[in-house]
Amino acid sequence: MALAPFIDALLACDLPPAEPVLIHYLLIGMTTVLSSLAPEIRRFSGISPDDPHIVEAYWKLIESLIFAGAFKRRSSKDIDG
Amino acid sequence: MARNDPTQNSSASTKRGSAATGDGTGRKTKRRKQQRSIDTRLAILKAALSEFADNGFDAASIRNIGIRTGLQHPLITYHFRTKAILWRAVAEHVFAQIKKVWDDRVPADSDLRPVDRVREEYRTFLHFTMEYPDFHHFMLRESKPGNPRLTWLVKTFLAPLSNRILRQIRASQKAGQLPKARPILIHYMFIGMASVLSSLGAEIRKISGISPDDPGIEEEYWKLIERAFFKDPDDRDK
Repeated sequence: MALAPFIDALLACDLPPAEPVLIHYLLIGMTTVLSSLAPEIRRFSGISPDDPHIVEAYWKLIESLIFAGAFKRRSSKDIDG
Repeated sequence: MARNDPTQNSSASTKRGSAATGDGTGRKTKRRKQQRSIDTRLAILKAALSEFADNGFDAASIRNIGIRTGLQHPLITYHFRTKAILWRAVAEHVFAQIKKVWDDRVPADSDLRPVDRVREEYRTFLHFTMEYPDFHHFMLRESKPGNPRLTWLVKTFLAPLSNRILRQIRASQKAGQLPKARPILIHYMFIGMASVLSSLGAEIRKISGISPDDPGIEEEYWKLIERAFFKDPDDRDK
């Protein structure tokens, strides 16, 4: 199954003890919304979701939250605690 | 009203009889008819939401909605004269549900902190998407450049509801309780996270065997979102 290597990679990361498939789909939801709802976002906010600066800012937000943010803090705490 | 409700025909004689006796049966009959009419409208709206989500406005048809509900075409057009009117009623219905659950969970006079309002409103939105799994696809179908229905949705529903939560996101950021990023990006990130469990529910079930509509899975998924976005519960009052 194509998803299996990705799930294995997730398991190797410092991610919270949750069903890996939920983490996977959490990331799918996060990463796809900027394109899937782009016309709505543009109409509502005036920003262009396909502007590389917006894409970069959005990715940095994901990175900070998932790969360097609260997940890690909580995971360390879980391990320590 | 010029046209008759096809659901109303069978009870006309009952109404005449009870009015003559004055025993209150007429009022009960009238209430039953009204309730039946409300139930029928709701069944049509739910089926229409699925139809518009599956096929989009242009390809959706009242005929298909009739098949989905098991109702005759004239009964559907009695309640909703055209497809455009029905589409609009569907949008009004679903956004009214979102507003209602938000108002119930986070009333305007609530003393919750902004970050807790944000948490409650997105938690409620996640649950809403599980109850209305077609909602996200309904919105995706309309998210096309130059679509006048999208303009109407944004002006009528999305802007008021989104601005409500964006104010709370900004206040939470000032208090250092949410990441420093454009509030609109945070908002749509929540929308994406909250919607995926229902919108890709069939795919998730097929790949993993888990049931996204299991309340335990919904709760586990929400815990993940909380963990990513909100500080530890220990930090909440700092």
